[in-house]
Amino acid sequence: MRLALLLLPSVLWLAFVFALPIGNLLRSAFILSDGSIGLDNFVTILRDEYYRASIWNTLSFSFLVSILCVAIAYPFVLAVIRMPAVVQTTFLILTLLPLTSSIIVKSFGMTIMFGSTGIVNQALMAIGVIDAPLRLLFTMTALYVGAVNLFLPFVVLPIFAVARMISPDIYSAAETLGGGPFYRFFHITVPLTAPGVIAGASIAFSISASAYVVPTLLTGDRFPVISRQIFNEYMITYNEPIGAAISVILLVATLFILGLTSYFAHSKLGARD
Amino acid sequence: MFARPNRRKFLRGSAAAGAVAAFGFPAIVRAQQNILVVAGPVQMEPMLRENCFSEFEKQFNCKVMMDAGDSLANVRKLQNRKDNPVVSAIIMDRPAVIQADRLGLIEDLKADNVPNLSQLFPSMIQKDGKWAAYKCAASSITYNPQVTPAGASSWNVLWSEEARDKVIIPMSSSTSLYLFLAVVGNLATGKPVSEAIREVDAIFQKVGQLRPNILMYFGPNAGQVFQLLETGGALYGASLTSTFVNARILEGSPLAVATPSEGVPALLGDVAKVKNCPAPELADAFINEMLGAKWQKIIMEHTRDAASNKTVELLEGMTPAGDLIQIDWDFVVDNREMMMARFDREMAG
Repeated sequence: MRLALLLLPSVLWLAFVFALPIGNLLRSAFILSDGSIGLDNFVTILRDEYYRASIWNTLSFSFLVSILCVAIAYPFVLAVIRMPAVVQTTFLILTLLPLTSSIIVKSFGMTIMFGSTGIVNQALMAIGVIDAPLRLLFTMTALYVGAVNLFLPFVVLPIFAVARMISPDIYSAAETLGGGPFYRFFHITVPLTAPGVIAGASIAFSISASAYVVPTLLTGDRFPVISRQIFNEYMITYNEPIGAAISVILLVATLFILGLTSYFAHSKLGARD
Repeated sequence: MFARPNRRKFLRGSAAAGAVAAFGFPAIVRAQQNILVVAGPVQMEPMLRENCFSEFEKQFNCKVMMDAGDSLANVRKLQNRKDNPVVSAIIMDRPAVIQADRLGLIEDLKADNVPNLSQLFPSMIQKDGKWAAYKCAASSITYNPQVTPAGASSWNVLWSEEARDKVIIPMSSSTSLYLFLAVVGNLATGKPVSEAIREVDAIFQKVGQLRPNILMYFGPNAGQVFQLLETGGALYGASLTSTFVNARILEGSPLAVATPSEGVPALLGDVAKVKNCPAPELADAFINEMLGAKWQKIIMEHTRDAASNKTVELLEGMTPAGDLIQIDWDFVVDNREMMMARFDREMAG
């Protein structure tokens, strides 16, 4: 009874802010204008090449951003946890610092950085790599750099949280028993940090898949993504059933990929919770 | 020593206080009314509040509350409260008001209650006075004379070789897109800008040819656009409305607005009364002020948008609202979904 009481606030909260909206979303997506239940809205979307391209763009963009974030965050964390506490704290603060400014401010910064007279082009020209400024603004390069820059802290933190829990004694024991650096990395570090990697990659994937501001500001209509389609269907053309159906597709696709990643990490990498 | 209160003194005092309140200070006795105005341009709120609403609030002993934000989102909010409206008046751009009208959310303005209607250019009054425009924002090409001294004498400069990767146009969710597409229709077919929005196939064929020149699309990120134009990262910003550009210029930006030979279409800022609204008399009084010369002069000085009231003396170089080109917004509202879809597909293709 006490446990139920303790759970009550969170259950009520989730019911109102999660279950109710999801129920409403499913109703709009599956119930047709004549009151019957059907898949017509989904058929409309999946038959349209543009919507299919948006779905593919969103999922591939989110996947690549997650991979890039993990590829940068993982070695960073492994290096930082071997450093003194003061240095660890300093690096963590530096990692979290970008979260204190808004996405809009950061996208302005990107505009200046990637512009034809920006620091990136100037540096490349100064070292003789290019003769004339490259077109970097509002390209896929800018989008990926911007997204990784924004979402990296969300990957660093979960990996850091699990990596710092690994006792150095485990490594000493493995070394004593003849385990070399590669053996120790693949049989101790990878399995024990895998939950953090899965958590970080899942967060990066989820927020990339639902990101609206970043693709809108960094590429605009050049790179159609699902989040903008949802906004347009709900807010501009008032086509709520199609907007709801696209949302359901995004939700299902994201859950499927996250489930698959988690299964793969547990079964193949030997992740331990 | 203080006099000791008793029941008789208390009753006498209360009666006197009531009489003073009722006859001497009616504004105190009357309950202060609130009037909620839903308005589109967020940027205009501080200016309107400081220069216009404060005086209105004193005069009518009311509080003007503004809910600024995206117009189409606000229409949805109005629709959700259709049976029990909390909003008295709306200030929105033309397509949003047409949408509100079609959803049965607004009611006719009465000339007796809104006498300033008679002072407007006839083309600024819609549907025999159902609603009216209070300003007219020009939608032209913005450029930086320090970077592009020749300016933009024609909309065709956007398609020129020199403008490769240097043109900014509106994104599909922006109302400004349709002002731009109307001009594209004119370039593609030679039909007047006021009618050219109907030439859908020709428009999208011509827009497709612009793709190599497009650097970015603007929507809610006008600041980013200005920064690019000011630093030479972009040469031309197409169909930015004068409301935003002139505010930037007044802050000291080197930007300028071109006058292309094909003409400059206008985005009308409308004001309308919500059907079955609370405080209907206040709504009429508020709309009357929005259409009056005094407020329109203030708004014009801050935005450089043409006043719809013909008695307002325009600033130097401004085109009267009655002479600006209006596009067929009814066609836009009817076909917005189709045009958005075609634009998105053309740009992503």
